[in-house]
Amino acid sequence: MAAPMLALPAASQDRGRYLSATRVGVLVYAIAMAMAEVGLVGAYLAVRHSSPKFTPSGYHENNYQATMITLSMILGAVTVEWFVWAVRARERRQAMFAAGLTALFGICFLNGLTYLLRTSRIGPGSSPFAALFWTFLVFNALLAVISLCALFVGALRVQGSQATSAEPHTVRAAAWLWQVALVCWLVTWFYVFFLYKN
Amino acid sequence: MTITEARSEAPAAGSAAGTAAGDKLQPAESGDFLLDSSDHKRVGLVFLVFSLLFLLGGAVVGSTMHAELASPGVQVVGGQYIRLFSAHAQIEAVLFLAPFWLGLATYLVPLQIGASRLAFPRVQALAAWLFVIGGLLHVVSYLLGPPPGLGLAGASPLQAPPGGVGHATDLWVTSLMMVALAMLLASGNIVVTCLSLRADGMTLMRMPMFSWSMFATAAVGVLSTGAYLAGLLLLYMDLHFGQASLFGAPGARLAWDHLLWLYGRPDILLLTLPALGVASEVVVTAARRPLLDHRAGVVCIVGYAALTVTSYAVGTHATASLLLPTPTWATALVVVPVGALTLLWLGTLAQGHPRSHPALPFVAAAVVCWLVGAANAVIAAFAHVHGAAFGTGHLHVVAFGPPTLLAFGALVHWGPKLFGRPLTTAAAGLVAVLSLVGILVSGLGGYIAGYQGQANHYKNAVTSGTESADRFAFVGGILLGLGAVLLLLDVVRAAAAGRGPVADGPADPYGGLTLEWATTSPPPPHNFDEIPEVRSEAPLADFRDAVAPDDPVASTLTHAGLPAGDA
Repeated sequence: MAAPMLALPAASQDRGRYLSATRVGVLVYAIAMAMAEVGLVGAYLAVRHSSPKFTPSGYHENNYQATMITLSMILGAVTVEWFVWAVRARERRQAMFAAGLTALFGICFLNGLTYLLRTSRIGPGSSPFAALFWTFLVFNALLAVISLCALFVGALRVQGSQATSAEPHTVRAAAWLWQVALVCWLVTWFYVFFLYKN
Repeated sequence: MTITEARSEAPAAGSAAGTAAGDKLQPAESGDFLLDSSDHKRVGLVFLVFSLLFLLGGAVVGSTMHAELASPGVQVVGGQYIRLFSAHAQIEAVLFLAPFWLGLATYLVPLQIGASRLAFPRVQALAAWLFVIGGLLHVVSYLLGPPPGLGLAGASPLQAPPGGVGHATDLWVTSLMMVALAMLLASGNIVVTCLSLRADGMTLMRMPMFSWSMFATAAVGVLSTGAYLAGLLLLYMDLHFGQASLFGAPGARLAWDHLLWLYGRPDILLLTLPALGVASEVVVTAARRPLLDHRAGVVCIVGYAALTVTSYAVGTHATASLLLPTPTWATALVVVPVGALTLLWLGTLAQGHPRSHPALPFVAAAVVCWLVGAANAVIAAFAHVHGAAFGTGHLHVVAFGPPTLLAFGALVHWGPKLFGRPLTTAAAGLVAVLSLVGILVSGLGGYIAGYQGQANHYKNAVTSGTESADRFAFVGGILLGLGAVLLLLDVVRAAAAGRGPVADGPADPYGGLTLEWATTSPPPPHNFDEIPEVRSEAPLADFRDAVAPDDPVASTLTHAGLPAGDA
């Protein structure tokens, strides 16, 4: 015979006041991503401060390319919000179009990052600057890949009617992830390219 | 009148517990096998079993290390002392206590807050197996060859010389990345579960103390592990692709030290925070009443967590002694919440109807360790002790001793839920005594060696005159190991007896006050037949009071210490 279980009063069915786990989850993990970015910035500034000649000879600084891919991410941030708006407005075709555009901007960003790494003319371990430079760019590439995966899942759920105007949590979470990736990249761009110091 | 009823069969998908609370509270699908299971209880056991195995491995390494220290010169391990030292510290700090607490939280937090699952069950399963694979690879990295000069966590002053990087080092860093990612994923999941899946009426202030302690620990863990992961990525880039230009350069290597500091300092202090939650749960169960002031207890937990983060503000001068308890104001202040909680426990026992509880000796042992540590800290401050061996002894008595004791105590307290059968009371008492004596003797060895001026335990720095102190430490380690083995044998016995298709263990052998005691032992996959409604921080006391209002103990359970209208 089964062991007895205490008979507790059942909860009411109205449980809507608690936050969506998906949204809270994205916020929590976004904080971890932000801490990683902050940690890298701290290391970058500390090493730059302690190095008389920070960048190695032969390093090709390409702020133009970095600014272009920054624009790609910003445009993606706009279209991903369009994606969320379209889901809320029950415009599924618009939503899928916006998701496709956002994915395109994300792929452009990744392509631009690999170009930046290839043309920087420094290996990842050739100098303290190189190690930091590569880590920054690889980290931001990882964030972009995670955001693209979340976007892909969100689009699939919209297509499968699992993410709707009443329950847009997955889509909203995907958009938040994109915005976090954008903010992290803006910080990277600001310190590594905009405030470039030889 | 009876207060129990027979548990019905597990509800089919979409019925019973699931529909009562909406789709988001459906229990996660569980595979038939451990590998594909996302049931939080099975996943929690994966964390627990492997962390305990790592504890045993680390203890064997530590004993070998202390055997080497028992005499001046090199007798036992040849030139491998640094490798053993690093392996012992890494395994015990990274692969035992932190994952043990996360495993216990994975198992218990949903039960304590009245949820049927974790927020992201598959993420937790991924984290558990990442930890297992990463942990095993980390051990293998030490077997492949010494990660050259990595010493203790790769921190100064034992860093790698430039050019001394090989496969073992690559594996060392990669496996640490896997373990850190696992900790991050699991911690985030605990935070989200506490915020989003609590039962009706389970306000944040009503969450049980263990859940609160894990919530706070996981929240700080999310903050610190992100920076640590970035540091490990940076380290990998530097070591694998280059010539350790960042890691080896005297000026630049502080970058890694600082990133490690962001993680290491809170992490060492955080090992104690879940232990405070465990002790609180044991005390309220033994006292048969809620904590004297639950809100004050929560404030102590949150205050302790906040103080671990303020250690960021200490500055960079302490990074060289990363894993040793540095005498800074931020470190010293954690005494306040620990002391306040201890007073709360004493007050709760005095005001309640205490009875013997097999886990209570572990709480007493932990308090003894804290007192011994505090006394030695005061002596060291006045005597200006410079021997770093003192720090090692202090670390074992204060930072690792009490959490290890209370980890053992947690296994005893929640044994019926975890293994289906309670652990043996006599064995638990013997384990508590062996472990306490082992920790104190081991720590005493370090303290005495420090007072005698022994430089450190980083290498074979034993000089004539300190051998007896180091032999003390060796004997203490053996006693602690005996206690751990005895406990694990009892765990195996209980788990073997508790196996079976029917949950026929005692549901509530200790008269617990929190929700995990409302379900069967072990709990069913869906945890509760009905998602319970909570009206205070002691919901089972409320229930007993409702069905037996004339019972003076039950009445005390409900009303003691609760604000008017809360009960």
